[in-house]
Amino acid sequence: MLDARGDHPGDECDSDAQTERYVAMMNRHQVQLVTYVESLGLEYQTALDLVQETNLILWRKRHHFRVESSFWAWACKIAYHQVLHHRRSQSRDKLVFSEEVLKRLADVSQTRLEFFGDHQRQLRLCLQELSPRQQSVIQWRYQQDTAVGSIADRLSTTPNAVSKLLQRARLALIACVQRRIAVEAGQ
Amino acid sequence: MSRVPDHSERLYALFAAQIDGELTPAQRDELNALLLESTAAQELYVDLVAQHSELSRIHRGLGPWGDFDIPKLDLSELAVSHGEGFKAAVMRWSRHPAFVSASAAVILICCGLAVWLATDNWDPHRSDIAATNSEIARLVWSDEAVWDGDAPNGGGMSAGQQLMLCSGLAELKYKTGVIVILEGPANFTVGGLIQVGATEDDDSDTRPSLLISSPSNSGYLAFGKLLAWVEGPQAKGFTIQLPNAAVEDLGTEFALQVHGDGASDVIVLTGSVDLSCAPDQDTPRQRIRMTTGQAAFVEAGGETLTRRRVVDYRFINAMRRRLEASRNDPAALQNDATIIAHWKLDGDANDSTGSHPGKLGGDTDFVAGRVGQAAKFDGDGDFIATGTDPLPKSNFTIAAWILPDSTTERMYIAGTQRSGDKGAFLMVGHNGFLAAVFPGIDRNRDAASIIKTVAPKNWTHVAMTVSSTDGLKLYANGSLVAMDGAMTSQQSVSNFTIGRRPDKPPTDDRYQFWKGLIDDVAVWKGVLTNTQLRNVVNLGAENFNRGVASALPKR
Repeated sequence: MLDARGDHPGDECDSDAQTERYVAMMNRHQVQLVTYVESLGLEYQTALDLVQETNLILWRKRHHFRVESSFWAWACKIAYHQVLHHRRSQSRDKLVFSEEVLKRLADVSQTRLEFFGDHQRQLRLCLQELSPRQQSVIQWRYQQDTAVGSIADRLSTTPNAVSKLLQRARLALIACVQRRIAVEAGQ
Repeated sequence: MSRVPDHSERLYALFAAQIDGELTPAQRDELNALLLESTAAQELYVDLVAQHSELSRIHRGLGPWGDFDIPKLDLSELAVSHGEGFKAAVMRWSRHPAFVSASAAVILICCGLAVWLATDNWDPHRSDIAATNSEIARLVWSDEAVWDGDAPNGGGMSAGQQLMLCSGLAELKYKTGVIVILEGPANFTVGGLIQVGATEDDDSDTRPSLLISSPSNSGYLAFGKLLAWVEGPQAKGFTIQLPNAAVEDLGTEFALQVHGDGASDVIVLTGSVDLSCAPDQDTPRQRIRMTTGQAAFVEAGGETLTRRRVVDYRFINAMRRRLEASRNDPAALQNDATIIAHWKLDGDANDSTGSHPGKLGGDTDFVAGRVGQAAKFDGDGDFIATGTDPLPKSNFTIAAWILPDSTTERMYIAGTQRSGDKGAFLMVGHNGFLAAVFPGIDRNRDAASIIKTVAPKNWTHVAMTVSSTDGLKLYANGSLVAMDGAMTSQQSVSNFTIGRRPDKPPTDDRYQFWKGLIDDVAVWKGVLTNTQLRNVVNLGAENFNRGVASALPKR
């Protein structure tokens, strides 16, 4: 029998505090999840699609989530299975990683990205520590999506030199972020 | 903290090739081998990806508005022109592996999250909505639509009405002629935002958002995906406000997507739009004109706009298919079904719409039914007669819940009839086949299901829709069980009856009295969609336009 509103219990969007917390956790981990999927060899747009599918499953399984456990680990596990599922629909030549490498990367990425917020914050600070030339190259590469060859023209240098410059800038950023996080952690 | 591994240079080179899309098979194998060698290599790789991902995000919004150069999209796969070309393009996409992923993404994130995100974007503006009572748009179609809260009652909407579409597609038609297709999850408000306290003396260039000059020709998309088709003099100037910008149409077709963080994608498929935004009170509003094939990305704060490195406009496909269908089939836009008769049979034979009250015949009783109470007919002279005809000649729907005591003989459910002449009715035949019959002068026309469609002593929901273009469709429990494309209309006769044949038969034993229960009989002007029919089955006739799909508990 229908109730007065024609509703069936359980069909309405949940609104209690527990659900709100769950949704907040989902929202807080969106960028992290996209990066996690990207680290498993998927392009950005594909990663977005897979995270959307992950979100759907996270929501459907919200009642299975134990509040005392790690939401990030829970979300990674579901996202990982989405990646595996996606791989099955891809031809072999489209797959960047073998299953063995994928599994290892998934473990490392889950650990590495757990505190992605710290990484994001420090990266912004580290960008300011780059040399002006490195900053320019990063800006051209990412802001204006300029090809290495075009950057080389602007800097009157060779594409290989620009690639090297980009490499040094990226590795310097990684070292900087690691250093800053270590300092902040008191290590 | 791990140190950068010794083979970092080679790993970096392979990573660079990968993100530039230049990784060869040999390099791919080398990358796999390197990553298998050590955890340090895996950590470096993850760090590089994380950095690349974050740098892309950081720099995605740094382009100044002033010298912004919007790239042209290659829309050949999307086929801007309408007709077969578009259909072919859709089919090509549907076979594309990426489409599978995109189709899954259509479902998107769950209702709760979507609503939460939408609310997050929405609350600061709610008081700015100018609510009116006059209808400015109608919900004319939906597919697999799940709503949070009430769907538009009867389809009509006034300015300020908020739609929370959890999933599925929904189509709105404005009185100005604008067609808007929404894809859930989406939070859309009919009618735009009115700037609180704005006066004609205000310097419009310093306002953070557009003043909507015509709420009847505007909307606010707080979250989700939207496709708008704007054509005709009344429609021109149609404006969609976004959390971070506004899109004013200049006669065109455009698609929008507002992401969870409030950032927006704007894609112009044909014609041109003006895209404007201002991040805060102190920043002059900036405006750019976008034309066919251009796409833009507006950052969450609205302060910056940039072209996307990879413009993914696959999300448009499902909405464009619907738009194409609407434009090619004007009848589809008439699908604004309204309930015109409803006998709930909750203790009486009244029509809840008030137009067609029934009178009890025999000793018809009322007992616990499928939705509230049901009429109980003993098969021996019981019936309900109205003496009127609620059935339109065409484009209508009739539905009911039935529970026959047995299916050993022909029994009349509901409808009108003048033998050998007029009417339309539903009946159950021997061995449980369900049939819709249109009596005619030359011969009766009917459509019937297979036997055992209706089981004795079980509730079955039965319905028929009659469309001037698609003919008759017969449904059992929401599933199509028979159809006849030639049954496009019926001849009216004012003797709508429930539980027996309306007109006098040659002998009393051919009244085909119903023996069992009948509940929730309803008639709609308009052909209900599959989603609406499912709502009728799941939620009851009066909730045909509500979107919360749920199953009735088994009795």
